[in-house]
Amino acid sequence: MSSEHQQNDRVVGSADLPDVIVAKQLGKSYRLYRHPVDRLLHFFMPNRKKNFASFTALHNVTFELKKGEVLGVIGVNGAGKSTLLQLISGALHPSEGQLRTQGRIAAILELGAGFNPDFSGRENIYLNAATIGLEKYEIESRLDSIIDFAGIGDHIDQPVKTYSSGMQVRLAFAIATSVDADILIIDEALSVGDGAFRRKSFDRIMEIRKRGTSILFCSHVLFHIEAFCDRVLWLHRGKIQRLGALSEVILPYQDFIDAYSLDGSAQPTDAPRVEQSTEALKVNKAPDFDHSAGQSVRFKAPQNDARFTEVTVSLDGVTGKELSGTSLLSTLEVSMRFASDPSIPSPTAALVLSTEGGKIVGTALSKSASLLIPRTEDGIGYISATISRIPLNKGRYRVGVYLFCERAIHGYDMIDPVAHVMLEHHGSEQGACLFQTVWEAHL
Amino acid sequence: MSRWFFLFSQWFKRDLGGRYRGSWLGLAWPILQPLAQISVFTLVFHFFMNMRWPLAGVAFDQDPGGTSVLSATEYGLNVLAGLAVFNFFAEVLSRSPSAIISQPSLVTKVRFPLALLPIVTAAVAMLHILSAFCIASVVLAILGKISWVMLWAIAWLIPIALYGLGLSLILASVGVYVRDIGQIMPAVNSLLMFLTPIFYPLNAIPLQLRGLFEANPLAWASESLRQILLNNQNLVFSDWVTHFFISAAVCGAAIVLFRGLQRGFADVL
Repeated sequence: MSSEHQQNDRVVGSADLPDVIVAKQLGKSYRLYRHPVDRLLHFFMPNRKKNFASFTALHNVTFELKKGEVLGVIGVNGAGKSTLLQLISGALHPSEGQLRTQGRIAAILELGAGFNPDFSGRENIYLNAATIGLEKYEIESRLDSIIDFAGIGDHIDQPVKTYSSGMQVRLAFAIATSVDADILIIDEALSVGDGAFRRKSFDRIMEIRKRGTSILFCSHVLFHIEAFCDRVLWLHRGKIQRLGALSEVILPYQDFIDAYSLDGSAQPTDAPRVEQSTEALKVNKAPDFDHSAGQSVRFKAPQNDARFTEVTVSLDGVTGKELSGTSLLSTLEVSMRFASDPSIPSPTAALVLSTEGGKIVGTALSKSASLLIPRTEDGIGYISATISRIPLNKGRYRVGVYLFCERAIHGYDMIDPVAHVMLEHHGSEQGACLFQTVWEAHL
Repeated sequence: MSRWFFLFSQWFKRDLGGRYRGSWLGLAWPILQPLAQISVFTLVFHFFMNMRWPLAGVAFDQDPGGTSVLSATEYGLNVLAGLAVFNFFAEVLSRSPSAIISQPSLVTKVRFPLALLPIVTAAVAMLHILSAFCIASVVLAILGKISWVMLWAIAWLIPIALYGLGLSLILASVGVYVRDIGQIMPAVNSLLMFLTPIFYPLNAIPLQLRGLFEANPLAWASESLRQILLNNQNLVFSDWVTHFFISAAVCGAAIVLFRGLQRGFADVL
């Protein structure tokens, strides 16, 4: 999951492209009154004594977005990401600085604004699309493609309240991405719907990106940022911490997150949890399927999706869920059997070792090994990953497996933990990693 | 402009459909509901309490004291005119305070002309007046009393609509900050119901108090509607002009207030 894997199918960052967003010393502060009524009184009596506290959500943010560029926005909860996106979408007004945008803006900040559950899917398309700024003729020309993309089919004339939550989100996403915008603002919208739809929605965003739309993309999932973005803006406590190329920002941010996950009190005070942990990979699990190690099940993958059917973990030849071994000596072998829709490209697999707290200590990707996993006609594949002389310090580690799309971006399935490994080591080395060191004395 | 109207029509449908969709009789309710109200009022006040409509000289019935069906119809039509006005304002008063609060995502997540929400609320409330016109026209046509004078109702409607719109904008924007407004409105409405000449005529009020009651725009609205619809009298122009200017001023002030308060919506929601 390093920046080497990002797609380099576009030339970006050329200095001669026009700016579509120019933000200069942009800031937003909220006035926190003891009660909303005080705010009203202040409106009528501006000279009344000030009885509010100012809360600055964003301060001195300066950046430009060029035409066709994709800018990632990262930061822990409460860093001001949402405020920035709301300002650019026009929902909020800046309280300081200047903001200039060019062209039509589409924001996927809120899916399904104004949806009425008693109305049919078709009626809600008109309502929601009009609400986010589409004109009648635009909606009519896109109607079929919206219905088709959402996969609602004949249900389109049924009331939306009869839809599953997945169908509602799919419909809302299809409408939101049907706007032909010059600037697209996305807030975590890729993680909507079920596995098959997530892949489709991902492809849709990719397609919009290829069309040359400038995108402002906010996500907690760093590998999505790496896959999409040309540059990254890291916000911390309402200010720009770093702004620049992926490698200049992602790595320091990862360090910060790791430090923050160990000692949350050290830096920000109000963001409650670790965001780039294994949980943040957010992969849908098959709900009614038992992944127990050693159990072999015939399983057909759903359309456009892939699922693990059998995963076994063994350490030094011993298979189980609680394994023990020795650092720098033991061999870890993980076998994965999966079922996939034969019509999608062969998936890639990942092995993730993490601490009990969820902090990743190391990953192995089949994509990095350039392994194209062969499959049967039914889409069944079988692979194994072996780590010999396991270079981890003593401790208990989680072993997790992930099944990704061919680009190793979109997740199909995950089992984490699939087993735990307890390692013994007789040295007093510190840190998670043990180097296979050769010590030599030279006299 | 066409885009704005399209957006308006979508939200108008949403508001209307949200109420009647799924009910068995659907859009028949705006007709059935006032009919039921009028029946109850006529039964209680006309038949049980012997109230008559003592407007000078223009009674349908040659025997105004009688209990004939015609006399009851006349009473019912007078109540209908008052109820149409009252139901319109009552709906604006009760629904406007939540018009914006109920759509927080439109305030904070979407670039949306928020003034549209109270405008839609007022427009949907107009349905009470429209349905009253329909009922009155049908009944008067049956009685053979329909006349061109009724077209004055179009002019009559202008200040009424401006009052409603202004009230809706004020209540919707202030309601974001002061949620109590939504709680007060039911009490205000039941007070208004008795203080507005709905099931009694304005001239039933003692002269000393009459001026006070006439200050209520609803009183002018219902009395003048009765004159147009039931008594074939032209709109009293001077009164109309007065109310037109007052309502336009209310509406203008409401727009200024809404624009000022709008900037703070996102901070509160």
